[in-house]
Parts: sequence; structure tokens; C-alpha cells
Amino acid sequence: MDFRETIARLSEPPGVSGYEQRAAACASALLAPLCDTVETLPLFSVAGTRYAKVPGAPKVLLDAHIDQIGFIVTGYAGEGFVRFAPCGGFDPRVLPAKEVLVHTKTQTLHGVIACLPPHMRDAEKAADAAVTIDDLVVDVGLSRAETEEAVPIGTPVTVNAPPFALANDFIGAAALDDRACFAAILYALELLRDEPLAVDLTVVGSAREETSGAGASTAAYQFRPDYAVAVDVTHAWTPDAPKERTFPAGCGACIGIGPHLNRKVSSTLVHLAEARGIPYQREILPGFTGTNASSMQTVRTGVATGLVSLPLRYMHTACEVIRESDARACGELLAAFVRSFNEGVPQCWNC
Amino acid sequence: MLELLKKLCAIDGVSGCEDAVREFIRAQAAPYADSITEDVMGNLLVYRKGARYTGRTLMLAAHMDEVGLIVTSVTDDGFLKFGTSGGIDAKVLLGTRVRIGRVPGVIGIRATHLNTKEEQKKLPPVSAMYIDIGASSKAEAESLVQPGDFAAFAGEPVQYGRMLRAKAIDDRVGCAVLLSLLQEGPPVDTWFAFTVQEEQGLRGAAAAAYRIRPDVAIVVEGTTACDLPDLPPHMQVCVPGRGPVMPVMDGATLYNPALIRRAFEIAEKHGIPYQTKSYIAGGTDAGRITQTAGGAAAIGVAAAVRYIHTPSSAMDVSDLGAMRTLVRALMEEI
Repeated sequence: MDFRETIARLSEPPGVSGYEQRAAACASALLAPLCDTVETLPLFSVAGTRYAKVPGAPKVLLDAHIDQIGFIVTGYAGEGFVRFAPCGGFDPRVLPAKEVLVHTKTQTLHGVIACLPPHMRDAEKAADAAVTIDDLVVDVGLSRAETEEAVPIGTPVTVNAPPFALANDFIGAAALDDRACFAAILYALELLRDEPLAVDLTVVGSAREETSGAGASTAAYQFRPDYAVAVDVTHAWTPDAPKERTFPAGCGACIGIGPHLNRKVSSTLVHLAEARGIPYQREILPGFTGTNASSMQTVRTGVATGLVSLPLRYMHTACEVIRESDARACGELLAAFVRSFNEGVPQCWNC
Repeated sequence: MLELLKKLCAIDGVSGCEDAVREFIRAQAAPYADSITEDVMGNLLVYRKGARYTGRTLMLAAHMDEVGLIVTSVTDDGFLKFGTSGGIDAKVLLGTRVRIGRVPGVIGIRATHLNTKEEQKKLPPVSAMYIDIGASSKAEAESLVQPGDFAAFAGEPVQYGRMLRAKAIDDRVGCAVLLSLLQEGPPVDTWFAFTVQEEQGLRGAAAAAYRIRPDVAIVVEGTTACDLPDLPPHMQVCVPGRGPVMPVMDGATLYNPALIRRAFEIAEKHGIPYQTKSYIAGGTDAGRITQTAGGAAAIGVAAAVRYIHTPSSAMDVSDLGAMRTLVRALMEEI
């Protein structure tokens, strides 16, 4: 699989939380050749399934979310400006003067997040005071009347971030959180393509992770998995970030360990990474994982849930960056996890 | 002229490294120029005879440079520290893509998830920021980039609504207007001065004006528009779409009052929309030109530019043609 091409394709359609239709259509198209069935669920999550065609086969669910943070238009201001509410957790400091895409039903408009020039700074505010979301509006370059006509209330907006490449195998694109992990799952499916499976394998591209986690929990309700692995991004180290809360980019896949995760699934993943020589790190999560793993664990009568994370720099900005080698390691580990059921219950299941 | 402006904005020419812009302009100007001089500072001074000689030396000026960054050092981990060249507000740098020549980079910031509420309220200073080019080590970074290399904002020009969004509209819009007037043939003998280092304190213009010794200078620029909602009208400076801006004064210049009155009359006579500045901010090469050698009378004609000095400066496309029409009328009649 050409990772860069797959990520570029996945990151192009918008999928602001609650407005995932276009991202879902893209995810469906990519799942179709690798699955027996593909369906779109009521919340715009997408699910593709490969069946073991063996009665009573265990059910495994792999999840990566296809939604992204964005804005929702809430009103109008001045001549050609729209007000918005954030959908998901933004750092307002990365927003001034960024280019945005306004996704109306019929067209994609370009715009700019307006910001005041320095001489207009509020004298009451300290020079190093950060902007807040409430300070910001989007400039769509039209008159007031044209704006109200072209951009209905409720229109989703994303920060524009076309794909780019840095040195080595660092790549950037819009919504790498979490489309890069969806690409890693597609890679796992590709690795498993010509092999018979001992499990019914469902891949979920879930909606609404950035706002509620409801896309994954409702999908887990529908498919009743015995085992689920959430695949999401974690923080990669950068010079301004604490080493103890981040992972070096290039370290491979991060395997989550903590109370919201099934210890046996976690130890199986560690065991498989060791046995297959897949680079990995342990990510210790003392409480809420900040991922769909936490919400899937308690669906119905409970799901044995694990977490595989991909280190990402600058999460929730327009310059999110990953290493392709880390995404590949995640995909290889997921394929190994699915394969491990071919030999019955995974080895660590009883440890 | 819009396509010319887009091409000009896409070229990188941070103050102190205007070479690529100058070479583009030189190539565009050469077939039309009677003479082209590049001075020691890097200004490009193009002369073209017009339909007549007025007895006065006329200089049009536009600056080639743009605000940007300069790499100051490389960290042990392979990240680049930088300073700003020209006035850039730190708040527009975070999460921004840049290019150091052909090497792409990003000015990252750790994820909001890793911050306390207090940390989230503060904007980090430029000294705490860095450019990530994906290098794994100092040695690897230094094989791609050297301290002293300039970084420009990345991103392609794009039109939205009635606006053009691009980096460096300040002052490639002036360069585009000058090139266009040069190419169509000036009504009078004219020096077209494409200057360097305006953003460093109007430095190139001093040498250019000293050489040309203009009697009259028209400085063609981009200037701060601040017509944002929630600001009182008197604070909005000027408004894109209402025509070229002719300030009576700015932070660097007292423009010639007789010329300004005359310029307003000329604009009105031709039905060219124009506006002046409702709030005094910014400065232009006119600040130097008026004071160089024996002094000169100057007037400014500027595009109203929102988000100036950011990766997303934006001007109303309709103002571009009005600027050319106005400057041409001023050349002929002032």
C-alpha cells in the first residue's frame, strides 16, 4: 500500500464531528475491495467486515475515527464574516490567519480566520495574552447578504491543510488524527488480504470521537465484538513537550496499558510485537484513555478492548505530522493480533 | 495583472534575500526597459521613456521584499531556531507551514492536551518557537539548512469571495502595478524602482532615491486594512473594495499636501474610487524618499490589505485594477 497516497486520499474529504458523510464515503470506498460487506451506520460511522465463514468464530473489531475537529457556523458579523463554535478541542493560538474551507452542501468556499493587526491589540490585555476562540471570526470575502445566502447556519468548517512531506519519512496532512490510523488499519487488512481468518473481523471508521465517542460505542453495540482495538494518535515528542508524556517519533506502535484497557489484550499485543520484531513502546494510561477504547470497553456486557497508538506531532493543529514507519508498525501489529486467533486463544490470554 | 500578482506572491523574497523576486521582475521588465540598473543594495531600477518629458524626475517605488524568518541556529535534536525579518506578530506563526528554500518545515506547538489552563492563556514568544523539518539530528538538519538561511511562509495564492489570499501581497501588489505600467508604456518618462529591505526599516529606498533624485515619487504599496466586525469604524483604517488608499500621513511620512489635494481631484475627475486612512498606522518607502538628498514630494497609493504580514494577507481583487488606473492618471496629470 502506498501510505502517502492513501493518507492523501483519506485526508481530503472533510469530516467534522457530526458531519462525517464525505469522509465516510471515502472510507467506504477504500474498505470495499478489502471486505465482504461495507455499511454506513446511523451516526455516519463506516463498518467493513470480513467473515471467517466458520460458525461461532470470535468477533474482532478494529476502530479508527474518521471525524476531525472543526467549526460550525453559528452566525454572521460585519461584511462577509461568519461566527462559529468549535467542534472538538482547538488550541485557539494556532488559528489566527489560517486558511479555512467552508463546506456548504453545494460547494467548498475558501476563507481566512480573521485576526487583528498588532496595533489594534486591546491595551487592557498583556502582550503575550493568547487569543480565545470567542475573538475569532471567519472571513469569506463576500458581502453580508451574499454570506448569508452562501453559508447557512450549521455549515461545517475545517482548517485547510493539504498533504506535505518533511525530511525522512515524516508526512503531514489534514486530520492525520485519526485518518492516519484508519490508513494503518487498511494496511493491516491488506496484509491479511490473501489469508483465511479465524475471526469475523469488522473495521470501523467511527464518527464523533472528537466530541462524544458515540460513533464507536454505537458501532460496538451493533457488531457485538468479543475483542476490540482502538487505533488512535498519541503525542510525539517535540522540543516544547515533556519527554515523560510523549513518545519519540520513529519509536513504532504504542501499546496502551491501563484500567480502561483489557490487560490480556494489552499483554497479547506486547507479546506479539516482541515475537514479530515490531517496534513498540508501552503507553501507560492511568485513567481515561482519551480514545474510543474507553467507550467501547463497557458496551453491552463488556468488550475486551486494547489500544494501539500512533505518535503524532502537533495534534489538533494544521501541521500534524507522523512518521510513515510508525504507521506501518501499527498496521503490522494489528495484522499480527488478528492472525494470532488462527492458533486459538492468543498465547497471553491465560497469563 | 491578477495572474502576474499571484506569480509574484508565490516567489519567496524575505527582506535581505530578494534575489528570486528581482530576477523574476528583471526578466519581465527587460523587453520594455530603456535601462536597468541593479545597485549594491539589490534594488532594481528600471527606466522607461514615456510619451513625453515633464521636466520633473518621476519615480514609482514598490518593494520586492516580504516579511519572513531567518534561521539562527540548529538544536541538538535537529530543530531550527529562528528570528523574524520584518514585523511579524508572533500569534500568526504557530501551526504555520514555511519553506527554507526548497526545504519544507512547520512551526509546531505542543498539543493543547499537554497544557495547563494557565499555559493555554499565554502566547509563547518567538524565542521559544522552532521549525520542524523532519530531521533526526543536528547533522542531518545542517545538511539541509544552514543558520542564515531565510524561511518564507508556504501556501499557494487562492481567491475567496472577492478577495485574493496570499503571502507577500505587501508589496508584490506594488510590484505588479509597476510592472504592468512599465509594460504598457508610461505616459511620461519614469523610473520604476523595485526596492529591497522595506520591511527592515525602508533601507533600500534610501539608496534608490539617492541615485534617482526624484522630484516626485509615487509609492505603490499594500497597507493595513482592519475592517473587522466588532471594531469601531474609526479604528478600521481602510476597507478592501473601496479603492486605492491615499494616506495623508502614516507612521513614517507626511505626504505632500498639495500633491494629495491634486491626487484626490484627479481620482474624482476620472471617477476612480479612493479612500484615505482613518487611523494612522504603518509606514512606506516614502518615509525615506522624501528625506533623501535634497528631498522629494511623495504620495502613496496602496491596496487595503487584511491580515497584512501574515501567511494569509488578503486584498479585494477589484482594487488591483483601480490602483493601476489611478497611478497611471497620477503619472500623467500630477
